[in-house]
Parts: sequence; structure tokens; C-alpha cells
Amino acid sequence: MIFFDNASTTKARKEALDVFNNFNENYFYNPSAIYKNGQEVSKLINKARADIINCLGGGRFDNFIFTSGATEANNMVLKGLLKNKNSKILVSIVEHPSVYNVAVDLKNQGYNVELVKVKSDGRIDEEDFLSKIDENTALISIMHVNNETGAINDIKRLVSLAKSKNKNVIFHCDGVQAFGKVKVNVSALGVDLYTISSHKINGLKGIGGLYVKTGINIKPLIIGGGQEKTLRSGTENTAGIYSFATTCKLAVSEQEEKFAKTTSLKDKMIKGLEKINNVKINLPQNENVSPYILSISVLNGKAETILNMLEDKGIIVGNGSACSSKHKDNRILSSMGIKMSEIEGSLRVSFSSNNTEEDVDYFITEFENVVNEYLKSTNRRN
Amino acid sequence: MEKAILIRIGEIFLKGKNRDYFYKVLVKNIKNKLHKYNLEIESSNNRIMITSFNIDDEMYIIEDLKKIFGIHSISPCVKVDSNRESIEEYINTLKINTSTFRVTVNRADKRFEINSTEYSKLLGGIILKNNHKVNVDLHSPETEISVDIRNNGTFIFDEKIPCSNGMPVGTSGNGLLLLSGGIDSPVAGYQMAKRGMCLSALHFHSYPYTSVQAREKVIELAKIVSDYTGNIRLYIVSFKKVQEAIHEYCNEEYMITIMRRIMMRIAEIICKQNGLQTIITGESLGQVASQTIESMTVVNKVVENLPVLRPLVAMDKEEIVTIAKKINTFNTSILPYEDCCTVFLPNNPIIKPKLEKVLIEESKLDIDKLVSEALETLEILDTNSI
Repeated sequence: MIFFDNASTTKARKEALDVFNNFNENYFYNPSAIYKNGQEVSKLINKARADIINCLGGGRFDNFIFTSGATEANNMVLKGLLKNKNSKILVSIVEHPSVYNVAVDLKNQGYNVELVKVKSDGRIDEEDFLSKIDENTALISIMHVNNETGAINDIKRLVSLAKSKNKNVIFHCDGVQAFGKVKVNVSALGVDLYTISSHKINGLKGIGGLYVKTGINIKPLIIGGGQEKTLRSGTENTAGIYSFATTCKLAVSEQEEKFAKTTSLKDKMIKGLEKINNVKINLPQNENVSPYILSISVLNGKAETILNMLEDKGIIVGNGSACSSKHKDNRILSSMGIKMSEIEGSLRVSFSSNNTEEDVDYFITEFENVVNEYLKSTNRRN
Repeated sequence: MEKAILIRIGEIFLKGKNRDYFYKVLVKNIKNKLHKYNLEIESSNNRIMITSFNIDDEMYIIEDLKKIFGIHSISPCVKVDSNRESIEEYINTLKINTSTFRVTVNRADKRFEINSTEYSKLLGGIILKNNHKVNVDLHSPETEISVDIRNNGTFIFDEKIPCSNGMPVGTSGNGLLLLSGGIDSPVAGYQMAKRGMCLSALHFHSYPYTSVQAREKVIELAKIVSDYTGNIRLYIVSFKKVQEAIHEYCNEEYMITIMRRIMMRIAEIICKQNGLQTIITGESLGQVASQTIESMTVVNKVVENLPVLRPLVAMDKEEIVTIAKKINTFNTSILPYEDCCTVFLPNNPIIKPKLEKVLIEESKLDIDKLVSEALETLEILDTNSI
């Protein structure tokens, strides 16, 4: 099976699994326990924390909170920083559901939430962004790399624009599709909060976390035994944390090499796709798009059917559009101004460094067959 | 003192000479449904009683009994020995939480020393003595304590839980339900099973035009309905080639009519091969374009020897949804996976198809070949083995 749905999850790497197993075997103790074994585990968790902070570009020892994953971290940001209903929250219209749906929920509860538009290249519309920031804006959440289009936002610039308009604004960035894939340095970006996840970078599922700049006071979502300096109670996913740190270190050290490899795979893919009739690349491909994600559309196609047909050929991709006739729309693509006839046939091809040139060749051949077969059986001939 | 559950049977009483047969099927259905528990089922003298169960299972057993057609109501009760000392000892412990009550004694064992009226009064007196704020109301009491004195024990209860009524599944033949992933067809199956019909089901999928999830959803729906009906044998047939052929050769206005006529042909063959006596659909008159009387007439024409039953034909969507929610199929039915491919759906389906025109369109197809090819894709699943 050729896997081109790496933006949804990735295969865990052997090192991550080995560390996890070894940790569970030898360090199963509760890090909150006062006996030596427990304290040793506590130290190892803090070592993992320090390693991850290093991977993010450095910071203080307590600048990172482990969570069950990015969804929890994003929820924590949006719910844990609210002060009063007058203060404004700004999120982009293309955020991942773990930000977007929380924002919608807060809006329904009476909070002042505004959505920032994007341009046809999938990146933040700076004019709209600036016009929506005022003295009441308390929190901004803008993703680094979009999970469906791969569009990379210039976070450093957005942070500085935002802070020049309101120096007190807190800037959160969901970096799930960026960290380990493109260069990330939280200090250089200037963000106050940054979300990352393990399973998107060949680590294990069930572990992720939030970078929190010193001085940002966030309230916990989960209250209990006071773990993670009271910010995230619950016995730590100790082996997951340690494995996550290993994954992060490897991902960051291999980032440039893998970026280059993925870029060449994606370029090859695009060249092949450009030769297929009725297939469209959904946004201009340049340095502002992640090499890990490619959004395409089959004109007059239905994503679900094409996805099924590809699966029968041994190829897995993601669908851009939901399958139901009731939920045909795609929030991200339609906000970029893409037509419904293209959205319905939109697919997400997402790469990992495990993919090979042969995978791409096979994909191109089979994809062309599938598109032709699809259009042949669905176009009327009488 | 032990716990028991008294089962009252519904319409079976009306069935005259066939009564025994209906009763036996009901007892068998109860045994099948409750086989996972350690308990005893006593059935004698028109009464079915569940005894000797683990008290922790009681609420689950009650929930299961509520799903068996043919049961009118049930009462969880306490069983004591049929002597005054035991009965009065238990009555003495009763606390009444409402402001009015009555005691109703049924003395099936006529050897019992006091008659029913006298004993009701006596037991009521005991309750009044222990519960100072309650009054007797013989006509519309908020609590009715029933004391059923029998030779094998006395059963005391104060609650009557309404059940599904209907007729025991298996007493009214068997039918093939056309099961889509929508709201209506599971309800149609439920309604027929309620009249005692044993169900099989037929689902048409159009993979890759429909998803694997849509198929899984239908299996899930069959499983939920089978909670009321017992095992459902599910026949799954690929409709892909049929749809492609209709799309290619026929006037698109007639797509749905022709599709339904071919589905009926396939359903009839499966019925004949498996001894099923009728085809059941979830159609409701006027709900969508394919559910007009003209359309039903044209579709029925292909089924030569079997009745096509449409138990929802005169029901509003709202009524159907109410039942779907009650039987727990609603939330699965509304999952957003297409049960029928939208790729080929015409923009303007014909609302009142004419048979002559349908026949002209169908003459462009090799229907026998399409039907036999579709049947080659047949898969069979049983809900009790999923």
C-alpha cells in the first residue's frame, strides 16, 4: 500500500517505538511518587521537556506542557486564556477544527470571536487581519502550515504586525503541520504559544504539547493531581513523552534533508499531474507552500469515489471534500474562492520522507487511469 | 424472598386455536433473547415468569424484555412463600412514596385462607399503620400494590412496565427488507417484525461510488434492528454495474424508476431462492420523487408473485423519525455517508413515470444479464455473527 495521507498521520518510526517499549519496561514508575524510582522518571520527563524546548529553538525549562495531543493543546489555549466576554479572539477561517470549532463554540457562548480571511493562495489576508485587531483583541490563533493546502503563513510577520497594533495581544500558532517539517524557532517567530504533535512526525499517537512563553498565564483544562505544574493533571504519559522527545530530536536533525527529499517528490508529482487532463493543482506552488502537502482537484469529480478507486489500486490519499451530499463544502478551499465543482473533487496528497520516487511514478500512472475511468463511467455517452 | 419478573402477554390471547403456537414462539424468543443470563423461565397457566437471576442483571433483563414483540408489559416483583406470615412480613416493610395507594390481591390459589377483598383490606391496614401520610384511593391510586397468590409462591409488585406489544417474531411469515442507510427502511423492518414477521434484509451498494462506511453503516443498522427481531440475514449486492449501465444507455429522468425496478427483480429472486414470502420497503407516499403512487405502480409491475409491503406508506416523516429514535436507529441513519450514489442522480427525476416509456428505456438494457451479474456479487452476513 502506498501511503500519501501523511498529513492525517504518519507511521511511527522504529526509534520512537523502541524508546517507548524500553521506557515502559524499565521506568514504569509514577513520576509523582516520592521514592527514588519515581523521581528518576520525573527527571527523565523533564529531560524530555528540555530536549523538546531545544528543538523548538530554546527557552526556559518550564516553557512546555505535555498534553494528549494537539487538539487538547489548542483547546487549552482558546479556553484557558479567556478573561471576559468583551475581549476579542481572532482566528483564521482556515484553522484546524481543534481551533476553529472551539472558536465557534465560544462565539455561541457569547464571546467576541472574529474570523480572519485568507487569500486565494491560502495564506492570511494581511489587510483583513490588521483591520480586525484593536485594543480589545486578547488572543490571536493562526496556524503555521495549513493541514489541507500546505499554505505556510508568515508567522513572524503576522506576530510583529499584530503586536505593533496591540502590544498586549497573545499570539498562538498551531504548528502541527510545520514542526519537524519546516524550520521552526518559536523565539524567532515571536509567538507566545505554539502547538505541536508527535504522530504527524513519525512519532506515537496520544502525545503532543504546547510551548508557553514565560509570562503567559494559562488556565488548565484538566484539574486533578496537579501534574505539569498544575496545568495538565493526570499521570503523565511517561513513555509517550520520552518517545516524543526522541521523535522531535530526530525530526529536527533530519528536517533539512527530508525537506529537500519531499520537495523533489512533490515537484515530480506536480510535473506528472500537470500532464493529466481534468486535474487541477489548487494553489500556486512556491516557497510559501509546504512540500509535504498538495491539494488537487479532479474537475467534475467526486472525491470519495476517486479515493475509493485509488484505494483499490493500492494508493491511499486524503479527501479534501466531505463525502455527504449534505456536507459537500470544504471550509478551507471555499474560503480561498475555489469553485464548488472543483471542491467536490478535491483530494489531499500528503507526503513523508518514507515515500519514494517509485511511489510517485506509480501514483501518476494509476491516478491518470482512475481519473479517465471515472470520467468515462460518469459522463453520458448517449 | 427472591426477585422475579412477571411477563404479561399481549394480543396472543386473541388468537383462539393458534394461541398455543403463538405462546410457544414467544417463550422461545424470550429464551433466545435472555440466553446470556443465568436465570429460569417458568411458563405455565398463561404466565411467564423470570426467576433465579442475578439481581445485578435485573435492569438489563428488563431492557431486553422490553424489546421482545408479543409482551404487553412486565412487572419486577418480589416472590415470597404463599402463607400469611411471609406475605405480611414483606408488606410490613413497604414504604409508600406517593400520597395514595391501594392493595389488589389476586387469589389464584383458592386454598388460601382469606378471600381477596378481605385480604386486600388487611394488607392495606398494615401499610397505613407504617406510612402515616398516605391515604387509600381505590379508584385512581398513585401506587397500586398487587399481591398475586399462587400455589408456587406469592408475587408482590407495584410497577407495570409497558413493553413492545405486537406479535412474537416468527409467527407471521418472513420477508425481505430493502435496507438502505436512511431513516425509513430500518423503521419499516421494525414495524413488520412487530407484526410477527421474521426479517432478512437486502442492501445495494455502489462501491466505489459509495463508501465502505456506507456499507458498514447498513450492517450497523441491521444489527440494531436485530435487537428487536432476532437474527437478520443480510444480503449485500453491488449495484455499480447496473447504475453505470442505466447511466450510459437510458434517459436520466428514468434512472430512479429503472433502478428500483431492477432492485425489485433482484429482491424477488433472492426471496424465491430463500423461501421469503414478501418484499418490504420503507417507502412513504409522496416523500420523494420515487415514492408517488405512479412510481410504486410501475415498480410493482416487475414483481410477479410476491406482495410488496410498505408499512410506512401512510406515515409522516416526523412519525417515522419518532420511531427511529425510539428504536435507536436514528443516530446511525443520519451519519453522513451516502447510501446511494449521488454521482448518477438525475437533476429532474420523473415523478409520474409511465410504464410504456419505462419499458422503452429498459429495452436499451440487457436486464437479465445485469441482474445475474449483480447477483454474482452477493455477500451474505448474519447479524448474530457480526
